[in-house]
Parts: sequence; C-alpha cells; structure tokens
Amino acid sequence: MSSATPNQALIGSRWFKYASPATFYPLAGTLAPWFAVLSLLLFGLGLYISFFVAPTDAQQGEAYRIIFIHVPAAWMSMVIYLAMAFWAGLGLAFHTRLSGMMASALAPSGALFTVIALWTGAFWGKPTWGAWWVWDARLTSELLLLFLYLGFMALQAAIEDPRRADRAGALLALVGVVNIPIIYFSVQWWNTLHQGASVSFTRAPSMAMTMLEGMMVMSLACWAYVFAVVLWRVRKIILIRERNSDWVRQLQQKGVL
Amino acid sequence: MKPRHRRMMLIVAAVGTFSVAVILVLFAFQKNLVFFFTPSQVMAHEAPQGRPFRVGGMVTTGSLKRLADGVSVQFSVTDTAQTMNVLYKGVLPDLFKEGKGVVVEGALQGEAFVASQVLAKHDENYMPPEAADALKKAQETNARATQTLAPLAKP
Amino acid sequence: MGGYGLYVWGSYAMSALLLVAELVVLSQKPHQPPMDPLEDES
Repeated sequence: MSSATPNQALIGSRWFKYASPATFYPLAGTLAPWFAVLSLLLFGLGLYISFFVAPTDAQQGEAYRIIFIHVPAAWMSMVIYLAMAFWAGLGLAFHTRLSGMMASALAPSGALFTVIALWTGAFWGKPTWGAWWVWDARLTSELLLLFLYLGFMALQAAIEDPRRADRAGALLALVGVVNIPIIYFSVQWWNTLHQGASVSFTRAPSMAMTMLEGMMVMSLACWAYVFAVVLWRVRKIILIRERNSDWVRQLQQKGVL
Repeated sequence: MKPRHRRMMLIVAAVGTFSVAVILVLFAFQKNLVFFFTPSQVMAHEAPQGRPFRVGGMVTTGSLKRLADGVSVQFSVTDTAQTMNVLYKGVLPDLFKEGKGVVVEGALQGEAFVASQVLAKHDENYMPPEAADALKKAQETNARATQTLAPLAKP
Repeated sequence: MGGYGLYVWGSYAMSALLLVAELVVLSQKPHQPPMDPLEDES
C-alpha cells in the first residue's frame, strides 16, 4: 500500500517514509545497538558517581543512595506513559499502524520502571520513614500508574484484531494521562508523607552538585536503555503484525529471522 | 477539515475535558483525601471523630521524654501555631528527631493523642554533613546577630 | 552502607534483576503465529 499522500509534502518525504513499518524496521535495528552501548556506559558512569563520588547525606546517611535509581525510574515511568499516550493518540487519529505498535512497545518498559520506582521507594521508605508503604497521594497515584500500564497491556492482549486492540488501548492510555500531572503535583496539592521535589524547573536544586550529577547521569542511562529496548521490542511487534507482507516473507525465506 | 484532523481535535478535547473533570472531583473530595491533619486543624475539630486519623507537623524541640515504663515515649507535634501532645509505645524510626517532621497515626484519648504508628517525615534537601554543619553554624550566627542588633533597631 | 545495606542492595539488586529479565524475555525467539494464507495486504 503506497504511503504517498498530500501530507508527504508537509512533513517532508524523506522522514515520512519512516512511518511505514517496512522502512522503520531496519532503522530501528541500526539505532538500537548504539543506544544499548550508550546506556551501558552511562550506567557505569552513573553508578560510579552514585557510590564513589557523591558524599553521604547529613540527614539520611547512606540510605539516601537509593535515590540514584528511584528518581530516574520514577521519571521514566511518567515520561514513558506520556510517550505511550502520544503514539496511541496519534494512531487513533491518523490510523497509522506504526504509531499503535510504538505504544504497545512502550507499555512493558513503562510498567517495569513503575515497578522499580515502587519497589525502590518501599525499600527507601522503610529505613527512613518507618513504613514500607503508605496510601498518600504520591504513592497511590504511582501505583495507579502501574495499573494503567497493566490494564493497557491486558486490554491489548485480550483483543484479537490489532486495529481494535490499538484503538481500545489508545482510549485507556489517553484517559489515564490525567494521572501524570496528578503524580507530579501530588506533593504540592495534598499533605503527603513523600517529600517535595528536590529538582524542579522553577527552583534551584536542593541537593549537592555531585548528588545531582549522579541522578542526571543515571536518568540518561535509563533513557538510553529504554530507547534500545523499545526499538528492539517494536521490531518484534512489526514482524508479528506485518507477517503477511512481502518484505517479512522475504526476510523469513532468507533465513534472517 | 480533514476527517483525521477532526478526530485529533475530538481526542484532545475529550482528554482535556476528562482531565479537568477528574481534577475538579479530586479537589471537591479533598477533605476525604487528606493524608494527615495539622495540629491547628485538630484543635479546630476538623479531624474526624471516632476513628483513627493522622497528624503531621514538627516534633517540638525538647519535648521528647521517655516514660517510666521504659517503652513509651511522649513528645509534642507542632505546626508553629498549635501544639499537640502525643503518646507512643513502640520503636521510633531512625530519622525521628526533635525539630524535624513527623506524621503520627492514632486517635485522641482525652487531651492526648495516642499514636499507633509514628513516621518520620523528611524534607527534600540533600547535602553532605560538612554542608549541613556549615548551614547550622550560619543559622546560629544569624540568630545571634539578630539578637545583638535588635536593641539598636528602636526608632 | 552505614547499616542500611539490606535496603540499598535490595533496591539495586531487584532493579538489576528486572532489567535483566526484560532483556531475557526480549531475546526469546518469538513464537511465530502461523502465517496466514497468502492474501493481498493492500
């Protein structure tokens, strides 16, 4: 099916062709390893800063070092959801197959980082607050995020037809977008046990420089990791969804798959 | 306009409307979503009667006392406007400190609040011990300077 | 870790475990659904 439409002139025919699964597949295959290597290097640097450069904390002692995985994971859990909802919404509006596939590829990674955020948060809360879990607004809304991810994945798994699965998933994803600002602003809007933001767009950071650096490098590492994994995963989804197309059959005949 | 642009606009409108609706509902139910009350709110009888609730504030400096039975402690929670007495039998969390944040869960029994759980609430500041010491010294110097200069401020 | 070892290592160990598990799942050969009888995709 030709993808040449009047929109090509608007978006630029050179990039528009990547909206086709057949052309995106090899591009993703080329990019993914680079992101994988980048993430490995960044994790190495990030963990080094987190454990050997950043000093101990005056208030929490060594327990605070959980921050270097907890905060990046929490940030990823929210950003991935926004990306997922973005692609799902795009697919819903423009009926582009690849957008729906991207959303489906993002969901498991989002769920994973939400689990990491919740688990590391609990392990951080027990020695500092004195509780593994409380139902305050921050923790509750992050748990809700996990349910949204799992709901999205379950919904898509339950629906046979991929187009209808994309549509249903997109509706759920978009409805859940409101949860993201709720998570972020929960510590400002309500009385919570969870502390406020140490890093924000509007105020100077309330942490030592090396601590901030550690957090930022670990965040970039997670980001690169997610890029690599999601590109890898979307390739698998493309192969399944496009299995009846010529180019996939050719790859199978060549024995490449 | 093109059908797909109309679809996109509908989606944006629907998500926007739904989000606003949810946020409004949440603000309306805010009283029931409260995780903890301040001592001022408790004194103003805003806290629920007859069931456990939480109080959050700062542990008044110098208020921590270990009681005669060796296990129970007593301390005050303040929001600088009002102060409440808290009774607690159990282990206090590591970060529990006078002058620092705390959230206690329990119920009012007469004048005292008997807590079943005490949680330390810490702020979002992270700094090495040297920086914390320097900060404390600066604050003490500041306080002394204010005291010294106060008599000179008379008109 | 100043006495907080269980919590710090428990956090990082689980995170590493989950990330590795994700990679393992991804590297499984996908169960290819049987090819549909030849049909015109357009």
